[in-house]
Amino acid sequence: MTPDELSAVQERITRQILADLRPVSPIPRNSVLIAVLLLIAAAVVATGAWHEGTAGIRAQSEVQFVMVFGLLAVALVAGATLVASWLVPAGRYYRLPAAVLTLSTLALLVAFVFLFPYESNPNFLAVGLTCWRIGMAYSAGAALLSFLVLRRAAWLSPVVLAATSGMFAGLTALTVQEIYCPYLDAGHIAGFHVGTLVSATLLGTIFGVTLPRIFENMKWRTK
Amino acid sequence: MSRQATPRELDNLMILYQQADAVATTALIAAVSPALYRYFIHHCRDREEAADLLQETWLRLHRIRHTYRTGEPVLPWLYAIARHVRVDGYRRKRRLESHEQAMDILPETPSVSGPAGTGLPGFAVLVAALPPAQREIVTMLKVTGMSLEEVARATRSTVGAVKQKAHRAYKKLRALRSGPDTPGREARRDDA
Repeated sequence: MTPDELSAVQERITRQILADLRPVSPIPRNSVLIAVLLLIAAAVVATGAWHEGTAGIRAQSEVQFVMVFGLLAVALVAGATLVASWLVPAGRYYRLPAAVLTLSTLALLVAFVFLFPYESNPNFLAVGLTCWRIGMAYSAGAALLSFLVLRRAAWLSPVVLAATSGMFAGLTALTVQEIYCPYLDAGHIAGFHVGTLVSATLLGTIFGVTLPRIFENMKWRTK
Repeated sequence: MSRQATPRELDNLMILYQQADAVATTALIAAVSPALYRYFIHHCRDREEAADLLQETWLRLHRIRHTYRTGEPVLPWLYAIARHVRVDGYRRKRRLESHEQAMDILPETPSVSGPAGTGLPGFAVLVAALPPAQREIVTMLKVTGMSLEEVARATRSTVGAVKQKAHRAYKKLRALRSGPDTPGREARRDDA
């Protein structure tokens, strides 16, 4: 391509952009985005505690309470930081939150396995599925509210961003479950509380994979 | 813009672009597009495709221009978008190619010869021999003049990883330049 041809392309681009030029307000700083995401999580958790009760907290011992809610708080902050870093192109500081999120989630699993007793319950599946359904409802609420922040994202890596957002929503729902659910069986928690976290992350990933393809197909059809 | 804009000037132009300043927008496009075009041409080696990718980058960049934050360097932000456009373009091309028959006519390719009279292969030929990840790093460092930190941000990598890839790429490029059968020399022999 000669310099003249490149100039012609540049002129075409300039014309297209100038035709749609209007002021935009820059996306807020990372700290603001993280604060908004954490406020959303806090609002969902408060709603859950108000609506479902706090029997779970009352049933837990002090060690269980400190370990579970301490690790959940760390994971939520790391999750919000990670989501915020994927909102903009060339975002910084994502390795540390990713590592902290992974480690705190793994530590949470270990805490569930070793700090909670194993009990047999004839209604294991029925109780578990009810708990999972409630958890999924709260994770959907957290995901919808998070969209207030996510709608301004660049969406350059939709799968990573949607999966991380799904995980953040799942962690919020898991916090709600730990507050209201008085059933402290390790099997129940590992299956249906952690199951909520896994399901929300998977759903986020599926959205991240499918939605861009649907939009792309729609673009092809309208062309 | 006749001379190369400094990173600070580019940052200022970007801020004015967000405020819908038409003159600054035109200047920004003129300042950045040649380097962006070179970035694409070193990857796809097809002028038409590089021009399409350049246009697509600007359209996407325009849609998400609000994600640039004042005070941040503009080049890593811009090349992170260009990188995604390139990868999306490559995936789309692969998808289309899997449904199409091979063509007899080859696409137009850029000039591959080096500086006249040097007897050395051109930059395009040399970097084409590198793996895509190393090619991207070398192009960003040497063609666009970005710093290691900026390249690390644009590629969502660490400075250490960028250094390592660049080191491996330079080693390979040195071997290509000094080797008895560099691609350029081979091509000239074939021509003769």
